[in-house]
Amino acid sequence: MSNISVLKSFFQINITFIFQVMLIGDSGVGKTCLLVRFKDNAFLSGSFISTVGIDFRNKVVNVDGTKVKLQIWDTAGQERFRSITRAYYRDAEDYHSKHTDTCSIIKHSLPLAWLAEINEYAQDNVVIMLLGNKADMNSDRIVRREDGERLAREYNVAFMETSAKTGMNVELAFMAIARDLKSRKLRKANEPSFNVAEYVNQEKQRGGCCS
Amino acid sequence: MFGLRKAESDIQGNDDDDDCKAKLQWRLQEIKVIKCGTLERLIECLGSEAGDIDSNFVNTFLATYRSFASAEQVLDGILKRYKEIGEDVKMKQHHKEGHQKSLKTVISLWLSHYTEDFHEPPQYRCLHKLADIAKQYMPESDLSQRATERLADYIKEDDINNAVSVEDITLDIHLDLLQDVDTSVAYIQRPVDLMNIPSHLFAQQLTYVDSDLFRKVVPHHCLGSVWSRRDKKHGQAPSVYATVNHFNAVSYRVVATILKHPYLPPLERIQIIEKWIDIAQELRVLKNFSSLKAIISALQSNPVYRLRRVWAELNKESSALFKELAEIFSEENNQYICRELLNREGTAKYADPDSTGTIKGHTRRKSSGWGTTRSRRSVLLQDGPLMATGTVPYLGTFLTDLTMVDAAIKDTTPEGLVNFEKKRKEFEILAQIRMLQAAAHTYRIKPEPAFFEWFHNVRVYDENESYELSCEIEPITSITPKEVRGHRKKSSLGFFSPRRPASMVFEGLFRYPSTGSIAGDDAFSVISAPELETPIRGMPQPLKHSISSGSIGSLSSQDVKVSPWKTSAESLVVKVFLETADSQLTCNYKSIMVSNSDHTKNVLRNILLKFNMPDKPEDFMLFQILPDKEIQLPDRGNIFYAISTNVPDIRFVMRRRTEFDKLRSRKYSRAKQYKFTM
Repeated sequence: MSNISVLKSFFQINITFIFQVMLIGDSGVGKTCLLVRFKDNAFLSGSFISTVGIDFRNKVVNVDGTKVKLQIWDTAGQERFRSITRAYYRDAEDYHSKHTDTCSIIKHSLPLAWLAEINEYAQDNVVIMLLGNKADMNSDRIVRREDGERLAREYNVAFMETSAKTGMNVELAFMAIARDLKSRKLRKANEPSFNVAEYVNQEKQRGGCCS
Repeated sequence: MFGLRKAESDIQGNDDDDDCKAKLQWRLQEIKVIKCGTLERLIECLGSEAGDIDSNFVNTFLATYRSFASAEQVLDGILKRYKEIGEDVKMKQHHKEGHQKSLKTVISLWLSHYTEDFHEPPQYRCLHKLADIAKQYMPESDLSQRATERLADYIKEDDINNAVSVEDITLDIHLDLLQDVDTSVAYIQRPVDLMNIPSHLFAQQLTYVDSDLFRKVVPHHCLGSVWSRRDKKHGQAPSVYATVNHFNAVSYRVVATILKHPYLPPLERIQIIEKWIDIAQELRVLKNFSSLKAIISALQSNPVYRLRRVWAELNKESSALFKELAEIFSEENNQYICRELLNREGTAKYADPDSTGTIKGHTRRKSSGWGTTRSRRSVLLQDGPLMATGTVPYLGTFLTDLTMVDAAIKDTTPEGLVNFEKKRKEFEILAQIRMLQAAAHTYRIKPEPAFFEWFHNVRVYDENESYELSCEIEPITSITPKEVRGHRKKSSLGFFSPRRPASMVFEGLFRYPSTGSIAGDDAFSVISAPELETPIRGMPQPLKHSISSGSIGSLSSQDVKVSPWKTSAESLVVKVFLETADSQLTCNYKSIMVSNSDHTKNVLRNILLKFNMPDKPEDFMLFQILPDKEIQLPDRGNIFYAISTNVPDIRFVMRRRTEFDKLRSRKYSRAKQYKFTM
């Protein structure tokens, strides 16, 4: 099964870690835009939508000299199907959830129930990060920053606001996840764990390349 | 601005086909490929002096123009161009004719392949325009006549639709049956049970609906710019919504049938799961990937999949088959397996069981247990062991691809021109959909009303309800040994524990994002608190206030001042389901408060407000849903005392008066005829 294959690939390639990242969120919150924004020099060409010629699903990032490959699962366009199965995060190494900042609160829910559910199953190596995208749209914002932070605290997950439009924090969000995953893999029993929230706070203002 | 650039194309080399010994020489050819341009320029490129059209370009244009222009703009552009050519004194006569001829071809293609573009009630400006101008400038062509005929057809259609008494069973049977309900009749009739419907028949009936819906999908509704952009209004892609709704309806039914009775003997629950796997297998044979995926994802959904004890007892064959079928939709390698299957079998006549490892189960079953099913089927069908089938793909894959293309590529170039490269990429995907739609015509399945009777009458549960039921079957503690591991676990379980973090700032958010919001987010109204009591238990239970507080915030509580879940002597909380011809009855409901001073009309008015419907209360009737029947509530008088309170929870269904009368007469006449043939 998938878990095994992940492990297998993990052992085969010694230097590179492979993690799966899922983007979950309502339609139109900009999941795919985040991906498009999150560019990396080491594009992996794959057998992806070959006719379409787009591959922004696999990214290799460099974490302190180690190559970490993020396989990003994005089911944008399918949000209204009841098809996003929970099997995903049973198999996925990482579970990356996000919520929106703008538009109406009814249309864009926070994945609270999911958070609860993941915790029922999730292994310790699942990293959850709550993202508030479209942070650039200050006037239309519906989910306040404090609310996002509060929720994240409640569920003990990292939270950050991103903007696919300006590029704010996009790189940082993925990097933080890669870093966290890697540290979980390598951490020895009595070492202090990597603190995503702290890392994020440290690095927060550095992100952001405008187009 | 000129948007034409040259691009190299075609291959150079020898074709070494030994069999025919013919050597083909290819030469390097330059083909004009339009990369970008203004609408005006693009329209100019539709025609050519030679009189033929660049079908690739024209088809791409027609399939995708809606993201940069309206139908009227395009039509105006083409007609203007047509006239200009006619008036152009410099152009040679035969060039003129050629060009005009090609433009006529374009309009003709447009009219026959994208009819929906011209369906603009009530004014039908495009058709009027086309009819007039074609009459004046293209007297020799039949375009004017076709436009006039189309116009007449539409107007006739609209009239019929406006009249109340349309009933085309063959066309809309599933919609009728999904939307209409008359539980009392159903109970009298003892509708067929899931376990009694032969799996292949079941799969066929699902496929009947799926293929019909798929054929009706308007490809350009799937475009990322239409379907998945938030800034666009909902309801722009009704044909896609219809597919999504049915997909979800199937998924709801899978979950509901499995979880329905918390105290069902384990063996029976296992059999239900095996039945669904069996149906899934039949869907695979029918190449109906849509319902197949719906069933697989429902089986993998948390409330079902977490029932470890049940899954552990599944027979080996079913379990292996399930794994193999689930593998089809693996995300691995960008859903490679599913894409490959579609490529290979999409337009083939039969599913190819030996073609891939993923359907090994199919072959295996053929040699073992499946053989019996199959022979039974041959007898039933009498026209051969297997029917030639079309294909119904899972639309989600295309929607994702189109969403990605839309997100990744800009609509306009930096110079402000329409980025036609993007349109070309989008068209490649749309063309695939079109091709499969054509193949979907191959299905020859007749609807079986009794099936839909069953399908409709399944009482479905929303995510929260499902989870509650699931937890009754297997309590959380027994399956989460990890629970005690850390504080993180404990706090997260707070979702279903009395210690619900009181973050009421998130009111309205305590629901699953994946609930497959029926007919768009706006219409979505599953606001149920986790219900602990279910009608199945047959025994009223005290309402557990603390536990349901998880979603209290989601009640639109403007008129509920006290705790909505506490019933008192003066008031009752009632769940109201809405059932109209255009909304499918699912688990969507609104909770309202009925006090002992409320009259029916008042209550109806409140409900309509809740559902945000502008209608008059007099047009509706209320029924109470009881475990064994429905009772109609009096139109006049104090409704409070008419409510039967001897039930675990009080549920109403609201129906439009006109529809109910129609439905009742039809149901009764139909009810006599149907019996499921085995």
